[in-house]
Amino acid sequence: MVVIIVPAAAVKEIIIEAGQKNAKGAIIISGGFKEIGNQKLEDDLYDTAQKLGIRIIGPNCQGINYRANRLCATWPLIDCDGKIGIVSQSGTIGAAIAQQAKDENIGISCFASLGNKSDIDEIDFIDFFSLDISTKAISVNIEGVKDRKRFTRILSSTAKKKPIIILKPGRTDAGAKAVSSHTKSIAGNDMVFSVFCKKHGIIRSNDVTEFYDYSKISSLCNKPNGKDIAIITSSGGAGIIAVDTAVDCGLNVAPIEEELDKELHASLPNQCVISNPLDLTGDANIERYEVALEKVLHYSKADIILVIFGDPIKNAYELIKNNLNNSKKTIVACYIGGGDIEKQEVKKMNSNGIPVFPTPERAIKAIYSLFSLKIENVDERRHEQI
Amino acid sequence: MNEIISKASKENRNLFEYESMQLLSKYNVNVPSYRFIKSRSEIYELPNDIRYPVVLKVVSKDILHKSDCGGVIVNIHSFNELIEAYDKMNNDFLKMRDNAEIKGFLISEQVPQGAEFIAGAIEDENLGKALMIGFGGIYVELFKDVVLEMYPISRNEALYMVKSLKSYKIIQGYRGHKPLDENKVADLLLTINQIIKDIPEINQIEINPFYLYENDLIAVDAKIILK
Repeated sequence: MVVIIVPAAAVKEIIIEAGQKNAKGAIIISGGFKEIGNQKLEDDLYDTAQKLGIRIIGPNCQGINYRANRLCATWPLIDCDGKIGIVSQSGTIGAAIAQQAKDENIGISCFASLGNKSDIDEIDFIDFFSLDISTKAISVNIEGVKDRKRFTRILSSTAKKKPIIILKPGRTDAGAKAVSSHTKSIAGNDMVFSVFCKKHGIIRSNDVTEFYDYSKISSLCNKPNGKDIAIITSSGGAGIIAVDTAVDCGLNVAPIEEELDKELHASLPNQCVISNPLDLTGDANIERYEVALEKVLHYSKADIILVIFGDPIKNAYELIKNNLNNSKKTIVACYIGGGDIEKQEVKKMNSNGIPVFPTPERAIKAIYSLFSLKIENVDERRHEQI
Repeated sequence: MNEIISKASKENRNLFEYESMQLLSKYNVNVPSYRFIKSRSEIYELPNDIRYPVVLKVVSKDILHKSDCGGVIVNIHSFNELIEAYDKMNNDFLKMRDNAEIKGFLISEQVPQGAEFIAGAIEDENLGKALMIGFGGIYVELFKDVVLEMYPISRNEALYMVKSLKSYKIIQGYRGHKPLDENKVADLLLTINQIIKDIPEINQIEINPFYLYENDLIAVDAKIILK
């Protein structure tokens, strides 16, 4: 394989040289092709490479990073192994979430920036990721597609096997209104794209933060068994934000069950607010969380448990870790307002595959995004993860 | 039916409203009775049994949103009022003849007001066809209470689309009003599903508004846009 970073006019020559040395692939970082109107130069380059049997990524791209082969022909250097495979038309957007994954120590399996897509496009990568054992979640930043039939076919078949998270800009449809029906202007291409995603079980994200959060959670969690959520918190304020977001999303914040209510009253101090959300109050320590989580796991019918650590609480990581695999419930953590202890605990959680988010609303939205998935054979996936 | 489509295609235009209505009618969708006229004298030749009130609408391939430019006059209660309305509309459009080629006029039975909804389908060149149901009337673009589903849809999906509307409460019977016939809406969606299956030339179809009643549904206006 050859990585080419020379002025546009000299790229073809390098391709021919690479062909003589039997190279099979070329990553062309160089710009100055289709994107500035030089279609002919790009076509010529593509034809030359085709004849020599060389596949192209780019030109005008930011290259690729594939952790399994320890190949980093891009920037920035992301050297943290994870389960998220990123393919991005925009180098910046892809690099931004790859960098976040590195900073949080959850890592990536691959980062590919496609640029002009003269040859290899996102569909090729989605197809590759569907078989790549190091990739559990496929994150796609896309602006437009070339081959609709292939796009829909590969996307729908891959979405049955692995979570796909798409960030596709263009929600605001400014043009072509005057010559169109109301249907077109109120139900424009963007809404069609949303319902396309819904139909095939693809997670759609609307901004870079969602793109990262949804990629992260779907690389770690299966779709919850149902929409009942129980919230445990030490912060009433964070708890109520979680409830609001959950209700907006359509999750069910059910009142606390009678038996659970009894159990919690018997085992928690008086200042705790026994309800959903369960407020352990600001003086809560890890022992109090342990009791609460154990009771909720045992007596609550909830399918999802969000544990919010709203104060500097030590050993939060161990608590979540010890309960994560022993339950069919989806357990997600949120750590907020915990100072230096928060940093230590969150780092341990992230490094060990525990889904943790910095705000209650991000945690809830991430959980909710999992309901878009239609992956068959969920148990197998869970097994594979452990 | 294919004649309508192939004629419009040949003339490089979308369907006229009366052609859209004709097509819907062939698919057993209720539409108001209507008559297409090309000149003033044809009003005098209308049969005596025409039932007032009627609505007068302009027919032009250049005008997509008729009511935005004075192309719809409602509440016409008599022959004299109809002549009056014709003269006004004809004069108005004669003045702006440069902008719009007038094919003729549609005299349509004015059906009783019902709850206004919009239904349609759209084809996205990258993703395929989708069906739509929404809360209609003049505020349709303001509230954007619409639900989409990818083509093709089943009867269950059609019903689910209706139930997913925010304005479903209106269909269920809001604040003392009687419930409206949601099955008829599902029928309409399935009919649109069938139409876009049968006629691949269609890019967009829009029934806006249709009136929904306790036991009935009438498509009051329709647009069919070809590829």
